[in-house]
Amino acid sequence: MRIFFSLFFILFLTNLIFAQPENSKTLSGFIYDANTGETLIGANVFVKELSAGAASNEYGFYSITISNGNYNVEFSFVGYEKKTIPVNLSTSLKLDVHLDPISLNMEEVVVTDKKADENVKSTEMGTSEIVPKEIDNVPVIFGEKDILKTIQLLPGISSAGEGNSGFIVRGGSADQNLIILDEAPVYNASHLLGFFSVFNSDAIKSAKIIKGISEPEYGGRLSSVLDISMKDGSSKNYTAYGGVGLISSRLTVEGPIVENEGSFIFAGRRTYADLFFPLFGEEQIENSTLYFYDFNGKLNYKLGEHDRIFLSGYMGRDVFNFNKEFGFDWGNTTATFRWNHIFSEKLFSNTSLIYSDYNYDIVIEDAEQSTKVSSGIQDFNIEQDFQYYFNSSNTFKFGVNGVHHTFLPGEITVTGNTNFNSKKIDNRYSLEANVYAGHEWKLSELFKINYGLRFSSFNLIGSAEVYTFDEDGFILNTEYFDSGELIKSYNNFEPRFSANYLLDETSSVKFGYARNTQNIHMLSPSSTSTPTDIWQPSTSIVKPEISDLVSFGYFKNFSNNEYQTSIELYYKDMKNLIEFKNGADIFLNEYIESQLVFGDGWSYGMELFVEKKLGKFTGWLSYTLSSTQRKFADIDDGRTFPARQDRTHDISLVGIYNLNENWSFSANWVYYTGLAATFPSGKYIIDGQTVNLYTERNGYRMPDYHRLDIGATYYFKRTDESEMSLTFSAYNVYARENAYTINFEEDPDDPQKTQAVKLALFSIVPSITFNFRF
Amino acid sequence: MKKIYVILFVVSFFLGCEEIIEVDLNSADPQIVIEAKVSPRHPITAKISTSTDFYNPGSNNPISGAKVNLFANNLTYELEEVNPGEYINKNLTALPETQYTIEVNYNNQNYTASSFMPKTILIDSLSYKLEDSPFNKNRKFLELHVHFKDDPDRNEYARFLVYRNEKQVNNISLYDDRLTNGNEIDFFFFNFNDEEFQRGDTIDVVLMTVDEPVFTYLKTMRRALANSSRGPFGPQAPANPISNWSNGAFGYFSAYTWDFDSIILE
Repeated sequence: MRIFFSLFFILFLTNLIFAQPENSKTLSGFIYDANTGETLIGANVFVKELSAGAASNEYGFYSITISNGNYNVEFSFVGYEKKTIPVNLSTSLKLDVHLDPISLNMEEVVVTDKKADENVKSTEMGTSEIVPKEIDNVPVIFGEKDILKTIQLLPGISSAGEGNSGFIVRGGSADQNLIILDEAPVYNASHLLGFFSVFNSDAIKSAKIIKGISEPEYGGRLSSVLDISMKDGSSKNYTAYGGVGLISSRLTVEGPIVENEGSFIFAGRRTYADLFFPLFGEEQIENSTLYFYDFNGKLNYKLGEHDRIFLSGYMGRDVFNFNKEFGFDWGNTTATFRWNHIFSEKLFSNTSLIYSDYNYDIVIEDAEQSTKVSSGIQDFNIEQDFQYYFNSSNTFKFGVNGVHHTFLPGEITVTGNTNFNSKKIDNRYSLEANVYAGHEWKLSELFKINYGLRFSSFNLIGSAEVYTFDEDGFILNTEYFDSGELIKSYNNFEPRFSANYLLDETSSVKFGYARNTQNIHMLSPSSTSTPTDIWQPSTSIVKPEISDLVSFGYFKNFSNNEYQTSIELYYKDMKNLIEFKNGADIFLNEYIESQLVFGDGWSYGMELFVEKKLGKFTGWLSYTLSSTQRKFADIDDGRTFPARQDRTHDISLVGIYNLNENWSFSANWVYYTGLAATFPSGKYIIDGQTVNLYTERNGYRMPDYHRLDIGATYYFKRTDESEMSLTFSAYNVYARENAYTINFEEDPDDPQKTQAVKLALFSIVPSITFNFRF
Repeated sequence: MKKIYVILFVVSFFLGCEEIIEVDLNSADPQIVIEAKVSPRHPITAKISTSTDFYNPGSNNPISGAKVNLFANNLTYELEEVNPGEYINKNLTALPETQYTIEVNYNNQNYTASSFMPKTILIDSLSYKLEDSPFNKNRKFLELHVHFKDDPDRNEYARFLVYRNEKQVNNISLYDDRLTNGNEIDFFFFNFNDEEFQRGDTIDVVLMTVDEPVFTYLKTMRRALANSSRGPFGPQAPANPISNWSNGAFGYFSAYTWDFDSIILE
């Protein structure tokens, strides 16, 4: 708390240092979509006479303080018609602006949006924003458009596995990505063994991925932040839209609660593979289920001029049941309550109450017995953020949040006569407090910096039994802590810095540095997320993971921002990474900490990005050249080895061609160096069975991966009000048999011989989806 | 246990095709491999050999001329080489709840391992179900149950061997009582590597009780086994099994006890 007050003090000081002239006035308000009343995030405000600018925040609020006078103020946002409004700023003024989306019929009019050069001018590095509308036509497996799969086509981000929604950022691991939906962390972002993400694109307004150099309000994961904002829903009209696909159907309805005052949106999605089960004609299969569903809902309401409240939630679950004998279900629930308050035209506040829960259940039962296994994690979070728009050159952000985590490592409940004993591994509790402050400072027309500091305090508390182990994993000591008693505390300062120097109107150089820490670690038996992953807090044995990332970038736009290019170099150092010991027992093990080994890692690389933003043909090329290494004292005798994530070359090419009103075509091609893998360098026979002999971790490479996907969309009808379309797509068109695993086995015909067997997961996968909006 | 087949079926829906490929593999230096055993019903045996290249057809290369001694209750039993690389001593009547230590001397290198022979877990009974496969009516598949009582006062570790007409049909099947201590155990098998069962088949089950280091070896060996499929989740990196031999030898030394039961399928 003391830090919090010192932040206020610093703010007060800065007020003195950057004393404003008496005659300065503030223009503030919200920027909306004129058709739906949806607030626009990151829309630009530009005062032509002063060349001063501002951008709307995540709630659509903007504020700019300039000296009084008459100005022409330009409001713009990509995909919307620019609006210039004359303003007489003799007193501070509140001005809400409604921007019209670019009409579909106006497509010939090439938009030369002056503010489309945000990539060059902002201090943001390694950051991409995705609007679901823009990825509508990118072909994906099973025709389910998916934000998590589209971001894998960006530089520095790769897939955690074939067809998988899990992703890897700059040599990190899948659990090092903070995925937040309306501020609530989503602990398991995948459905159906990872082939789908939990995010229904129809309910999402925008998603922003930050590859490490994030502003200080974000923290808690080493590698990236994926900040997903749900739509608010139209406050003007009732609308329904959705789609019918091979795998799932979805429906969204939105509309005003009170016109222009409040709105709602509800979106649902369900898969129906199990509806075909009766076709098997087998009773046991008919009695089985296999599906997942998602539900997103959000309400918002304006309480007068200065206040607005939001309530948003997500609930999704995968359900698998075989013949009522074996059941397995897992899912997330999140809820966010937010209160926006405008204290003054310069001080914007948001207060959030956030809940997040992930859990799974496995049930095996018959007439005589049942065995149930469950595990999960649950968070309660309270957060207070302020944004202070001091003047057109200085913006401050500061805030505080507190999180209570409950970890449920595992429980087995038995009734009747079974092999198992009922057992519960004690819950773990932790309290987390974070305080941050940041300052975005435009030092001159050409030079801008954004710096900040985040202080994170992670406290493991009782009640708990705490064990210490010797080198062989035997218990040395057991200590008991009472409820609420502090077991272990980790305090970390995380500085963040980024700077942008404009070389000319269309190019800039940027530099950034960030430290991140992570106190919640996913223990996964595989390289990607699975439903039974265990979340483990930092303890006396498990230290916080810490990363330091430096990055340097050159950004350049061509032809009036039609082409945007960037090249970024990065180096990332990671400490206290976690791996399992050989033969680790992680299932329902109260001594799980004795099953882990710890080490360091680093990654460096170059990321090249060329995007064509405008015109009939759009798309991008991304190329990453990188190296990712690990070093663990207890793996390979402490030798450095390439991480599984190490991919020397990684290329994605995406193209979308809007032929005419009816047809749109798309394609993407992906290539990357084969993953580092551990193959045998010999063999021997024990008990009559061949055992592979390994000499080094990840000393070999899988074959290179590549794949082409194509898609075509036919619009029956395409107007601003309604739309009907059919999308055909094919994943892996040339049916490349990419290696998913390579197993080294005995030849079944001659056990004396051994052979390598490659397993390819997907051949060509065609799909068709019907979409509508009215 | 048809359920497992359905799960496999659902998963295989996603799986594409398998193909034998040629992979350019390094040649590791030959490593010494020692497989040594002692039990109340069998003599002391040790097989000593070296590993080979992965693509080398055939077995390990036997090592002759090693000196092998077993120590128990302050007595030493020297093993005699009866075949190249195969050493044996029939003079010991091994008893449970005894510590056995074995020492191999070869090429001026000493390799030792110790194993504690545990008390035997006794099989109470066997039971089974023989059913038609849900996907292929011509195939029968066997669900075999082994019933035994877990001793609540000790940590127990076991390995099962299942034979159909004297041919072993299971992989490494292991039991430990970490989550089942003190219970009446119904340990079942359902996956027998595509073995086709018929009425009249004789099924033999051997239950070997082992100590924890041997269990750990077998558990980690199972993951390094050439036939272990690593499933659709994307594997952790495989590693060599954790041996109870000193000085970096591969393989293991097990002092085990065993029980046996048999059943004819009807």
